[in-house]
Amino acid sequence: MSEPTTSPRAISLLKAVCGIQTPHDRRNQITLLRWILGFGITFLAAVWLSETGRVGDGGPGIGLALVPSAFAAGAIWSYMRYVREADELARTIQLQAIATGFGVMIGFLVLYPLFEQAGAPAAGLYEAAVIGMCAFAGGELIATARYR
Amino acid sequence: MKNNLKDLRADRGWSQGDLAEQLGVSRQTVNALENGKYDPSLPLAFKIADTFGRKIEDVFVWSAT
Repeated sequence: MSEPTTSPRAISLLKAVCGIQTPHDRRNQITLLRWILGFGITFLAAVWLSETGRVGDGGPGIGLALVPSAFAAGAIWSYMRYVREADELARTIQLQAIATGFGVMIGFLVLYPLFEQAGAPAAGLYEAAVIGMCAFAGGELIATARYR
Repeated sequence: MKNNLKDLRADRGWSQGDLAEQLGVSRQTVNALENGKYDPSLPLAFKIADTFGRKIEDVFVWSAT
């Protein structure tokens, strides 16, 4: 059986995505990833504790919600820092990715109800957020390929 | 905007990575500049000219196309 191979085009794009960072940008991105990881873990833990009824309503529940919120604030702050201090081409690419993600998410929120009325499955804010994040990632890849 | 970054860099025997390190940008930025796919900000354009000891108009040439 032959080994799976990655296309040269994909490797080239991957190298472009990785090569777009200076060492300073990479450090800022690692900080960002730590905040995102912390957010992910605390968010899942908070959902589990809340859904299993281990944390009650009122003060304890709000306290629990504040933990992932703090990590989310940290992630936003470190992303803003990354973009502000990033290599200028990386900043341009991030701007295009943000525009793509934001535009697609708003478009989805405005237009999808029409599809729902026509019988498409119901979707809410979570679905819109996931679609926005996917569009952001796609926008980043497209912009990276444009300046390659 | 056109530029002769590639020739100036080649004259000095620098790699794209060497120039990127001196300018404090990524190698990909230098590559995009050389290929004419990206126009630098004014501060970066001045920094590039300064790195090569040239005037900015010796490195970058305005082109309407």
